[in-house]
Amino acid sequence: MGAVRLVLRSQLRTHHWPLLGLTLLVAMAGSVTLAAAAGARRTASSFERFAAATLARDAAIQLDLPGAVATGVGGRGRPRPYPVPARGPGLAEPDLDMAVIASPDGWGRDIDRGQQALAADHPIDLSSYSHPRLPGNLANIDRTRGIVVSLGASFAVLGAIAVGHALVVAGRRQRRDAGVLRALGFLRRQVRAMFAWHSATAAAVAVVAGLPIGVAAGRWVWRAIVGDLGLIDDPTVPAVALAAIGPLSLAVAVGLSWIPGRQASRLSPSVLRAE
Amino acid sequence: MSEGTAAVLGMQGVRKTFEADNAPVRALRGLDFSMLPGEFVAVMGPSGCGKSTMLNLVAGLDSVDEGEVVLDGERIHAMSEDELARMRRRHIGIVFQFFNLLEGMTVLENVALPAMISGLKRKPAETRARDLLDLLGLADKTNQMPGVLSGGQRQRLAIARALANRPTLVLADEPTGALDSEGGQEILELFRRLHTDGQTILMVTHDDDVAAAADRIVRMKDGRLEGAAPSPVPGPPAPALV
Repeated sequence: MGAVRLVLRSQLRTHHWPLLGLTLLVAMAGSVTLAAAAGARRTASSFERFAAATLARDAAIQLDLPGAVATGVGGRGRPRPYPVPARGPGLAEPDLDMAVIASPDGWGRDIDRGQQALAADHPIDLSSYSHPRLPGNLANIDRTRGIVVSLGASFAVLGAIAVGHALVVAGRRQRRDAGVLRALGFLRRQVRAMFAWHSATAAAVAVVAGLPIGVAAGRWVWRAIVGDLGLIDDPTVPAVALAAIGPLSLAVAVGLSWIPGRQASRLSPSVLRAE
Repeated sequence: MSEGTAAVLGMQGVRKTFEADNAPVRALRGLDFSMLPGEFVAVMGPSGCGKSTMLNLVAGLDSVDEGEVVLDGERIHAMSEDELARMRRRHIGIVFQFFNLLEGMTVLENVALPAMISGLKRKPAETRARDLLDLLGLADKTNQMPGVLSGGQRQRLAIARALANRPTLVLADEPTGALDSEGGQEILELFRRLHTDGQTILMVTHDDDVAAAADRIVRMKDGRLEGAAPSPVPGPPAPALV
């Protein structure tokens, strides 16, 4: 292991910059995409809650029921009641009970479950329904979530291809070194291990350095977007997805190192005579 | 070969054929060869006579088609790839024409590496490496990278690396081929000192002057030994090195 570690260090000294740069780029691009996607989801979701409550209150006003306790159901069709203290001007009398279900997307699907949920909490009859819709610009942003996630996936695939290509190229450059190591007594599996460690180390450094930078950059981009739209930013970090990036990157990096590692390990040390 | 002394290297009826584009190339055609411990043998011959193939087979870098290769009692012709790699750790030190140093490692690391591959811990491996570098006149270069060394220094470094595991046999493939005459003489002097100290050396060369450093010269032709000749100029006595 000591010899592999020594060799790994020397390989990282001479062959790591393109690989590391690429991996860093991938980590950053993925993080930007993730943060933007999470921001889009969170902002749209917040708006749904806001819209549900607002429309519930508006319905109460239209029905001339000042003091109504309006309850909205929002959040992409989940039958989750959002109690809204709709006690603005003109809604001062608390003795009238009313519930309004507002659900931007889940109206048709979840209305019954929503009614049941509300009825359990508030023993009342439902007297009015409204169908809130996201404003166009927000709806557009919400729709871009799929595009952003697809973009992220494309980044990941392209990044994996680029890293794989870099590994193969690095493997060719390391061909002579692998031959020297075999001549000195490295076993085939030690050559493969050298490639795997090389790749994993580059990925680990990229994740450690790239993720925080990527998340910060993603947040900055998203804040700029919602600021332009006049919305309140509701920051969130997709912790689970980000936590998965580390092990996933290592697994992909080690997997990608298999091909050049195998090629190098099968190389006959007699190739050194020709160089 | 003196009677009663076991050969450190024995090759019997060794045949090796390479597949070429048009026709198979018979590199070795029943080679018989042996070396005693402490011998310094130079193998000479025209290009394509099979001398490099012979060196590769002894080093376990290539496999024989037919025949036997026995090194220090071990039948290396029957070994697997990994067994050959382990054999190289114990028995073989290789000096290449073009050095084949690891450019990402310091001088000290290059020499310590073979011992670490053999399982030695880093500290004792570096201690051994420092001793060797000191003996080969590279003590002040330990933390430098090989790229900054001269050709002669690089080859001395390669020799130090070859000696790191106290090998049974040092194989040298045109060790002066990439050096100027001064650097070449420096390396030959080094080999003579190693030989004086008892190191067994098998060297392949085209050059008569280089071969003269050996105490036995064998010539190859068409994949077989042509004959043996005594060294025309015995090297002067030199201080013990290793």
